Amino acid sequence: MKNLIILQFRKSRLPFLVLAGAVLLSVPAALLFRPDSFTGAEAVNIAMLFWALAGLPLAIMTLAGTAGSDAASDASRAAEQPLPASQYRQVLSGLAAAAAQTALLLLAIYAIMGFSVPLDKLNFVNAHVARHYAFYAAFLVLYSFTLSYAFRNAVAGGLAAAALLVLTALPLLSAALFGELLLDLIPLAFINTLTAVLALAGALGALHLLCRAYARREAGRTAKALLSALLLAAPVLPPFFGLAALRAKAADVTWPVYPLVINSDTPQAAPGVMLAQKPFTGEVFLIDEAGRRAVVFPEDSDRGIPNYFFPVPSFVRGQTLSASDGSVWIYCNRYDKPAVLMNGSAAAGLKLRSTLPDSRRAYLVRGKVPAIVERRKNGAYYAPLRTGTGPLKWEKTGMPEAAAKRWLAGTGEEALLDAFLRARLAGAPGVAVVSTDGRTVTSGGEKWTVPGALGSKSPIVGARLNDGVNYIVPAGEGKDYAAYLCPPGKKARKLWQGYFRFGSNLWSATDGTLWGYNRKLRVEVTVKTIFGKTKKDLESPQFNILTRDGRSIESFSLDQILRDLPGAKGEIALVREENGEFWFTIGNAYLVKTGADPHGPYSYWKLPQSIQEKYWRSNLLATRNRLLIAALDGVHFIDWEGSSGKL
Amino acid sequence: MITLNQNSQTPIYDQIKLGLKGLVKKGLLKPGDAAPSIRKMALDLKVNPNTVARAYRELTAEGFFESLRGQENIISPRAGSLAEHAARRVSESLETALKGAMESGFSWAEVEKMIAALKRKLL
Amino acid sequence: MNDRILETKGLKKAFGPKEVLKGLNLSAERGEVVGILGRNGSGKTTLFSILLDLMSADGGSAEILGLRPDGSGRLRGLIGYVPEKPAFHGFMTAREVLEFRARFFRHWDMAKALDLCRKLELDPASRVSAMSKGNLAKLAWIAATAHNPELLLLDEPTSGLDYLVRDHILNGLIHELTEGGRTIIVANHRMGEMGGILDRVCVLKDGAIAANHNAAFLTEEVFRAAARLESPVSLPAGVVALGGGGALREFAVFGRENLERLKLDPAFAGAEISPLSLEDSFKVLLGE
Repeated sequence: MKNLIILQFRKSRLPFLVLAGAVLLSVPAALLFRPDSFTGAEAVNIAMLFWALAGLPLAIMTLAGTAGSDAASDASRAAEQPLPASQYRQVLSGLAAAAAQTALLLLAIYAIMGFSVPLDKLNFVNAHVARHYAFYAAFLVLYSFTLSYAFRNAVAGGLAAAALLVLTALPLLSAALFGELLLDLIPLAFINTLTAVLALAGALGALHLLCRAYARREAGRTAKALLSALLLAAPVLPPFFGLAALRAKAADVTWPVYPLVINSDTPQAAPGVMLAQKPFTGEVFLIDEAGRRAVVFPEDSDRGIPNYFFPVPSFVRGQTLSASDGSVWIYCNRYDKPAVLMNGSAAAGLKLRSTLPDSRRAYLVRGKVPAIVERRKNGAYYAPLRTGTGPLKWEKTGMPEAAAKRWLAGTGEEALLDAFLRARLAGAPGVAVVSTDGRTVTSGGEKWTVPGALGSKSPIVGARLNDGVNYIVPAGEGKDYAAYLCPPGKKARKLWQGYFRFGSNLWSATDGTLWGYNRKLRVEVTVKTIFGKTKKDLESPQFNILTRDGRSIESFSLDQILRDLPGAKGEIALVREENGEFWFTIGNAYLVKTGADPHGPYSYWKLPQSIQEKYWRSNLLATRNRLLIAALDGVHFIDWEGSSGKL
Repeated sequence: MITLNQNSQTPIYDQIKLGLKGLVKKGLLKPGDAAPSIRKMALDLKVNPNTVARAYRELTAEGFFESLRGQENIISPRAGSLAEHAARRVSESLETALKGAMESGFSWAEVEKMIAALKRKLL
Repeated sequence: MNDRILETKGLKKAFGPKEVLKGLNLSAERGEVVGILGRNGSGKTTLFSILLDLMSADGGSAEILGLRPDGSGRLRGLIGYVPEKPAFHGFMTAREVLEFRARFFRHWDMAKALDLCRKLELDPASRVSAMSKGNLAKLAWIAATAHNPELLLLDEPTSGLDYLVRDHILNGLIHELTEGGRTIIVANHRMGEMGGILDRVCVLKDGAIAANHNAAFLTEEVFRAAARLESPVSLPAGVVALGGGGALREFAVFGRENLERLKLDPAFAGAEISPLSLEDSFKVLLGE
């Protein structure tokens, strides 16, 4: 076998040397002709990358293609068949020589690049190709040779091999890109391995069959040729099936719908319902904790051919608001399409109330009545949301910026003179204003005295607890800060040490419990992996909690639970308090229930996998009786004792 | 030295034997000479060496060849006398046949015609 | 090791609709020189390809040197094969060809190969791409015999070659025979010059061996009969019509017994008998 391979090398000496020479010559050429902006090393690298991505594939098609067509030629057969090596071996020696030549050229290019590839300088497609280069090159060698042998023609074989490579690689590339940028939905490593194995086995098997059919003239030639074709086509299947699986799974992916901007005066979303979307099908719907759903936008059927290979998600923005009659107002906008305003409920369905052409700049507000503000080219318009039928009545308002300027320039009280703003904030549970000297907090008829309150310029939104609307005001204390509680009908009192501001580090859970933190502890966690144990650092916030019945708890820390639960990471949020028990969510992964002592007994449940969010957002929505999860395969629920299911 | 007639009815090995015997009779090969090797004979005549080998075996069996001082296929001293003997026998048979023809009343011319016809038949 | 070097039973091979071999039975014993006489395109090369394990038969069996052709190529290491159109890699010299081949054959005798080059007047340094047909034939011969195979398969070894080269090849053949133990199978469409070397002649016709005669039989017992026939006769056994015009007809008679019977046949009274040359008997066998 070794002698046959040496013979093949000798036969294809000339083209190989020409190619090797071209590769080597491109080094001085790159140095000579480099643009001034590149250093010598960079220019050489670019020349080598050109070779790897364009020149070498052509070289492979040439070397392997001519080797394959040569192995099938009569002249070659006449000179080599009398040798006492089996005909299949003789054919394989041609393949081995072509593969070895390819490997040598590749090694030369890699060596000239200094044995490292600048992946960070390449776009995604090229970087992916560079990472999997060995596979693509081997595929091209095997298939150029085998197809040239089958067709007895180097050009036909090379082109057919390139076509099959593209057909195989395209879905793989799409799936890899998808996984890199978005989600890991399919076992890409398995599919890659399977494709590689099928390519190797398919080419060698087809070669064996073709050798038997055409060199040895065995009976059943047509059957063998067909079988060879099937074997060669086999590696195209796993990528396409993988892509189909990817598309199917992507269609199930569910994501919550968020407003474009969330700030402290954004009204609270409608309770008890989740506005969710399936980004890869375009469906948007409203779902309640019992699983009843109403469609906002149906599935988008027209998605186009490029979308077949790379499912592109499209995201909508939206807001919900509850109306006094219990119905839900939904504002939802899509890229490039008009936004919609709908009203209804998850149980009874939604009715379209208005289409908004200038859709990107509208938002729902809660004033005396629920309303929508739309920014158009010629100003800001405001329309109250009334239930029933009939179009919206728009009225022009001043630009909020003008109002805000007046408001900033004036005192706290004067700020509320602007009718629009007053109306906008009127729907909050309560609004309080801090006096200029920062000592008095006023709301409605109530007044509290607070030493050195901060943030005197912005109004403070209240929180509704069991005893009414309370206000938490951050106040300065020498170098430190403190949070003061202003309860209805009582004197202001210091609640907690440290800076707490509602909306920035203090939040209200769906059931009204107030929670926040301004300190985090570092917790060291040991994580067991298959390679052994590693240590990780997690952040454990020190929670301060004010329950609805007025109990205050400080430095409530989940560090013990974080140490126990494997893979716990991400933002921690309090979602419920009931009878002294607390429910927390850890990242998008766990629901934890503890008693008053966080170091005592606790229960935890693992949540179905959802998308990891980079920012402080969540796929979780707490309703009265359940926690809804927008997971990878749809909307799930879990109740407060751990029973879970899919809606 | 020896010529073969491929079309003759006489087997080739026989022709080789006769040829060698002829050479001895003509004195071109003398007793004590080594006959050409099987290989040389085969190459010269373009025949299968086995054929030559068979001829040589029979010649050895007849006493025409002998082995001397480790060498094979040496013309034996009897070869000459064997050839002479064979020639004499042929001569005697011919003489008898011709005498009989004369006594039966055939002229020389008729005898020669008969010989010509026989020549055609036998060769 | 038994003495039946080669045996095929009912070999069949078809290329698409065309049947080339239709049940071919052939055998050869150790030391035999067998000639396969067949017209161009009668399937000689196909037969050799099957024997050399280069092509697989559609049916029947073959056993050569105790092995069956199985696709592994092992048989080719034991057989010396001279193809009809010898082909080597053009960029090699004769010496390089021989050195290359040497690596594949266990019993390669390089000294013998170079000696043959000298004897056949083939310059080892001459390049294959520049070789004449005669030199290629010489190289093919040397390559086939240098590893001292027990069986030689020669496909038209002398056709198209000049007298001198032909002579060299025939001498080489005889030389191999004198080494002893070699079996040689020669396929040719002209057997004339080999008449003295062959032991047996097989006629390949219609995809099978139509006739199998000893060479001695063909030289010694085939006659030409010229007779005048008054009326059409049915031909007795072993008699083949040759042609001739009108009432004067010529026949080939195979076998001395059949000749005697013919002489006694009244229809053939007065026939003129003469021996039929080897060339002509081959012609008759092929045409029959």
